[in-house]
Amino acid sequence: MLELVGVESGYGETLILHDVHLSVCAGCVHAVLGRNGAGKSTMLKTIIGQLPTRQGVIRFGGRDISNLPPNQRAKLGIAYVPETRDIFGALSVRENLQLAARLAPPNQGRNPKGWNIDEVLDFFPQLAARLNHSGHQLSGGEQQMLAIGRAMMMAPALLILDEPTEGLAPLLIEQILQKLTALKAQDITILLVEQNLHFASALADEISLMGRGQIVWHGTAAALHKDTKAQANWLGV
Amino acid sequence: MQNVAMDVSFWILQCLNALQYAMLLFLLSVGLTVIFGLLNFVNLAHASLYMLGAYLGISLAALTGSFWWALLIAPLLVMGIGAGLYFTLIARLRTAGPMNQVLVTFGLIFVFLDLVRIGWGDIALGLAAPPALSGTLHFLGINYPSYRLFIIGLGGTVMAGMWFILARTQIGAMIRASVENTDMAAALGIDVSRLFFLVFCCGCALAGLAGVAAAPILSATTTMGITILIPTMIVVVIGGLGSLEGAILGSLIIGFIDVFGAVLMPSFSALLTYALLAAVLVWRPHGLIAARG
Repeated sequence: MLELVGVESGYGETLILHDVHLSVCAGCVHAVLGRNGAGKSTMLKTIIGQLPTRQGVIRFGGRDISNLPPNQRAKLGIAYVPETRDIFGALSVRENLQLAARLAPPNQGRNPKGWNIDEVLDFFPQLAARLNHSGHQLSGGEQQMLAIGRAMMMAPALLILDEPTEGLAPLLIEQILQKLTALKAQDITILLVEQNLHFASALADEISLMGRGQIVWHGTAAALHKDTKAQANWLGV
Repeated sequence: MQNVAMDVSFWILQCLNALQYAMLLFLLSVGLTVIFGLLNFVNLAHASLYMLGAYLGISLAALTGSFWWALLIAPLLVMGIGAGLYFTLIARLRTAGPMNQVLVTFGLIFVFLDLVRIGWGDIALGLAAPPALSGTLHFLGINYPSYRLFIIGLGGTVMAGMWFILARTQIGAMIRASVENTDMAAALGIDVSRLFFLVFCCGCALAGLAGVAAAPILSATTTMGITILIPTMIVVVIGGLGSLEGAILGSLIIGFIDVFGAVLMPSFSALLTYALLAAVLVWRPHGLIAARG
């Protein structure tokens, strides 16, 4: 589904990713863990095209997308939920959702599982009362729900989530975990970046660890739990 | 009683003058502010397009014999010139940083100035208001030129139209989203470059429209662009870069301060606008209605 081969990327003069190799299979949930500054978010931004691919190739559905602008990658079915949520504060909740739905013409060879607004509200009932409020007025948890709902309105073939638990209370984290588990049951391919090992291993089929701008470990959640050395090297504080 | 009536009509008259000036400022500033909001691009040559609108309008009125054709076609020509500028210079300057943008577009002001001098000469040119609007209207105890009322109506119509497009349509939501967060808008599949080009062209057309509309009142002169550039920039800064509501509010504030300042305290009037600008910058550095939180 998604494949990174020898990808290099960074900001300005600074190179952050060195020779990143990653493969996300269709219908899988793939979690990438690592310490702060390991390059996880940089990798996601490179995949969606916010940062240029300096070296290497990014393939999506077999197609080389390394040089496509971000909006065309979105049209191929890559939906992104950034760490900062990036809800449009000047737009209402409804407008935030409609903006993403614009992209989702049914049957374009993409995942037909795009949602409409009613389905977003079924999934996140809390947003129903907020539909006409502006994005500025939402709480952190509501913003996260809207960001996921907005991504699902795009009928994504691949859902990319950057630290969905960041800054949320434990109760909300459990709620988001349930929701993402429900999404997983719908066979949606998810690439997830996390700091929270419990959250990631509850959800992921495969886990990659990232350190110093490279993928340094790859395996299943069960294998990671046994590999205390890898945990200590790449996750411990 | 006579005195009071005089007073009231005086105030009404000045209010209408202020409104009419505010509408011209609005037509200019709204393009500038939305262009800035979308791509952080300061186009100082925006006011040159206003000047070109006036001169092209005058020539077109002479050619077609009709003010209305001029009012329709001149903005389209200015839009074409804007599109030409976009492809030759502005698209390349998008990532060149503000200093280069200011230098190049400031240089463009002088290029357009000389082109107008070569094409139309240095003498101020007038444009007759269309016959239907050349008289005065009598209402509320005052006589007011109907052409000036037309400008107020034109500005109001554009304002309402832009509000409707920005607040109520899909493309308006796309523009607002892109102003607020370009990267996220692109991640949702919005072609931000194309959107910017579209908005840039509309902004240029509005500047041209303002130029034609102003010509019957102010005449076309080679300095008209530079003269209105400063108050337009002040409107944009006071209102908040990138904000439609800000452009409306800023235009009204500057229009009223300028007109009433000149009438009520002529010796301070030039100072008033700048004092206000300074106060707003201290109190609200992002403008009265900031487009980005």
